[in-house]
Amino acid sequence: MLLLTPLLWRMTQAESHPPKTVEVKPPIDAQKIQLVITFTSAPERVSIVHLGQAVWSKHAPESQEEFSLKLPWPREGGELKFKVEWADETPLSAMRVQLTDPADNEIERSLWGKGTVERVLNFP
Amino acid sequence: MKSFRLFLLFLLTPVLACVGAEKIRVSTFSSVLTEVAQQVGGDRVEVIGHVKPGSDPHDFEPKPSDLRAVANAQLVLLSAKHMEGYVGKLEEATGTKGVIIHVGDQFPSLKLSVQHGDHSHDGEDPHWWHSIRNIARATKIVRDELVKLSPSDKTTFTANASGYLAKLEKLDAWVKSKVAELPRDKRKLVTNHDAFGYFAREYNFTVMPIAGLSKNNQPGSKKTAEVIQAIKAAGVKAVFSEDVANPKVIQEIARGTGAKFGGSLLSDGLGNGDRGTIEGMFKHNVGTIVDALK
Repeated sequence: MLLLTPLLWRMTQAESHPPKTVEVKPPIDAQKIQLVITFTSAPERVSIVHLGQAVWSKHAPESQEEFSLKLPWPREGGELKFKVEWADETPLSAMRVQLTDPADNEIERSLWGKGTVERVLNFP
Repeated sequence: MKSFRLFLLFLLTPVLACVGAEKIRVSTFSSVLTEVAQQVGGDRVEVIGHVKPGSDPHDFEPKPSDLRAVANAQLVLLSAKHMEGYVGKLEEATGTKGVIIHVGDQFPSLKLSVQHGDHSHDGEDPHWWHSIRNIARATKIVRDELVKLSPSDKTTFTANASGYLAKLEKLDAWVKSKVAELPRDKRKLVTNHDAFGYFAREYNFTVMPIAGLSKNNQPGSKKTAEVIQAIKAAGVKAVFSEDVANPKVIQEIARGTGAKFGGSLLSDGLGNGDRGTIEGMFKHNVGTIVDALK
């Protein structure tokens, strides 16, 4: 009986103290992000990934594309992963991204490349 | 007579080639710098890594065999930023004629408040290798030092360094892509000791260390209670231990907050097996952090 005492004690302790739960913050609601993308040479295709999910893509985009997305965008900001596919014969080209966040801050980023370029851009 | 001379030259050629190919002797005191020196030096260097993967550089003390190797080295690479408290003794005891390079001191430091008993002072964060940008800087420093020691190998060292820098760039792109899976408001990193400041700065995390810079500096109950409160307020989903640290405190914190134990991170250098390279260290750490905090 004495040998069983620690086991019984632990069992009763576990019952009297149920496991605590994490106070996880509620997920941030999707908010409107405004984007203007400009290319020096129009690519064959461009796509955007946010938090591992594809959120926008376009075949044969114009030299300037303007659109908005609804994304969970915390105060701290966020990243967008761009995949830009220029034709093999296209010379070194650039893409400029102007993002307006839900607080109306305008942030500008750019990337350069040839062929297929994948890059994560930070805002801010 | 002419044929005899030619025969003699034929016999001596391999010997002369061996003399010319004598390797540059490099001693390193950081597992990260061991990899950098091997990658840049390639076949032209013999690298002795004194701090082994999986061991704690904060607690490292050189043994007589380490001192003998340093005495014989042509290049000694130190992590610096006050990581090697024994550096003065090392120079005095070995009388080495080798070039001693304080690698980490050649790029900017993150400043921290270091607690010593009942007082604190400003200090430098020595864990610079959690920034791939800093490892690229270290690569260029090692390349330049090796070229100074053996100018005839400049082409080899330059090509090796360029190849390695391209690998680091690819690794950085992988890290950015993986971290981008995690919303910024969830990037709160609770660890045993304050080792991930450079990582946090590069990839937009907030660090919440339980202890200070050294793992020997364990928190008291008041500090632990404060940390538990801060973790609860921030809604942190997971907390992390480190490979060379006692996980007891972090497990206590996990119990106190209800956050899950996210796993063990490599904080003080490379690990063993798949984690024994810089790429392996980053892939392990970033994968563990992102998957646990998602």
